[in-house]
Amino acid sequence: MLIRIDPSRGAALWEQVAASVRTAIAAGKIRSGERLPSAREVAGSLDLNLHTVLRAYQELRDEGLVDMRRGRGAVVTEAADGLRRLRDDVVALASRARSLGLAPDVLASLLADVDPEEDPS
Amino acid sequence: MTVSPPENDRKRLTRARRAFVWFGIVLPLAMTVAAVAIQLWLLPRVPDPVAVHWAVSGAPDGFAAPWTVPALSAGLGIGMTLVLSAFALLGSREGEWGATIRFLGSLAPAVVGAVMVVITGTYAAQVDLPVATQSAGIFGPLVWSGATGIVVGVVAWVSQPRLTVSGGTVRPATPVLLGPGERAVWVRTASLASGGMAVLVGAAVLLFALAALDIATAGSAWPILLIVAVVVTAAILATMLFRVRVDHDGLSVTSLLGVPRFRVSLDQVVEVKVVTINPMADFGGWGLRKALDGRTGVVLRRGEALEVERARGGAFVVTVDDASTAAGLLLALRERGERGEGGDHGDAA
Repeated sequence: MLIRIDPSRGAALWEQVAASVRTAIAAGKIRSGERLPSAREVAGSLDLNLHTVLRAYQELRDEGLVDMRRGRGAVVTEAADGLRRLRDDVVALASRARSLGLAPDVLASLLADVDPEEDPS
Repeated sequence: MTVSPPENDRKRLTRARRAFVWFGIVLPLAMTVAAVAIQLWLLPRVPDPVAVHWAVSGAPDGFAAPWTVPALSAGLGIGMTLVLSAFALLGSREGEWGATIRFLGSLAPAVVGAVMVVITGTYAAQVDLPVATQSAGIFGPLVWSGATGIVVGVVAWVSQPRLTVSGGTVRPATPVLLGPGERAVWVRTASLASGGMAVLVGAAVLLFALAALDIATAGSAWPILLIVAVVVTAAILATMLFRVRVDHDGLSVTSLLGVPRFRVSLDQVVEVKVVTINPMADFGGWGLRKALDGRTGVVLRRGEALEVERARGGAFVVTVDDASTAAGLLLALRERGERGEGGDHGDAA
């Protein structure tokens, strides 16, 4: 699993860590039942504060993607499988948005505003 | 992306394979056929039952019907040949070759030859005896058997070409794109293939069971058995699971126990490749390995592996999934190190 952060990007570092893990899960690089690298290890490798990594892991826990267990660390949940299945659709959607000249932020806000009751047809 | 071996190598591989088939398969099967034929020819003249097992003192202590001996010979000869050659040929599915396969091609005729000599020798020694209890000791046939094994094994070894063809697939790594200030880490767990794990755990359990049995029967060998069992268990724990990490410190491969641990710092990285490893052909087996070609390996399964050519100490190999990402990041970090860009350190969170 590749975790990358770039302080020159706008997003907070913990958000970037969480996004990397999400991408890895979606790409099937880490699967349900597998353990995330320890927050201490990631923090050491990326020269981050331990709390920054823990914040990212907590975010992933709130999203239901990982389970935090004492002594076992952060374990990827079954929800990861759903994310993986969705990946091809997301990639296709993102490339369609790009070809239409839409910024990623616009697409993200569109997705956030989708009415759950709306009929997909 | 299979890189086919050069024409010359392919010819040598064909030659090595042909020699293996002759010495590792045809020869032991021929010896089996000959032994069974001799035994069948002698069948009407041996006592019934015939002696098939001897005590340490040299006196016979196990008996069976005469026909069981040729049946046993046929079964053993064919069975051992098939098992040993299957091991070897499974190790060469993608055109790999190595000393291990050559060794198996020598072991098969040596073992089968030795077994056939001892069985046929003791059988022949009972010809025209009224009862099998008068059978002579097993010592003579054992000596002949050992000599046969050694001679056949050595002849088979020197008759097969020395050849190492490794890794069917080699892919050069392409660097991951990193921004000037971007930091990245790649982490993955490499674990022993489940088949290998089952064999090792079985071996450890067997050793503990033997020690327990020895204690239960008031034997005296249990301290040694227990020590061996503990050492084997520790070795299994130390080699079945490794954390593989690539970051600003380079590559680190650390066992579940923390020891052993291998590190290759960025300035030691000369070349990075993704290779396909066949444990038998490339390293002669699984675990922590030193290959005949000088590579050091953490070899836990067949398939994709990260290979790093080091400035000192030769190539280092670890079998790990997603090795191409690891290789790409290692290359990117090394290139950045060469350009002298550090990325700004310190936490901005």
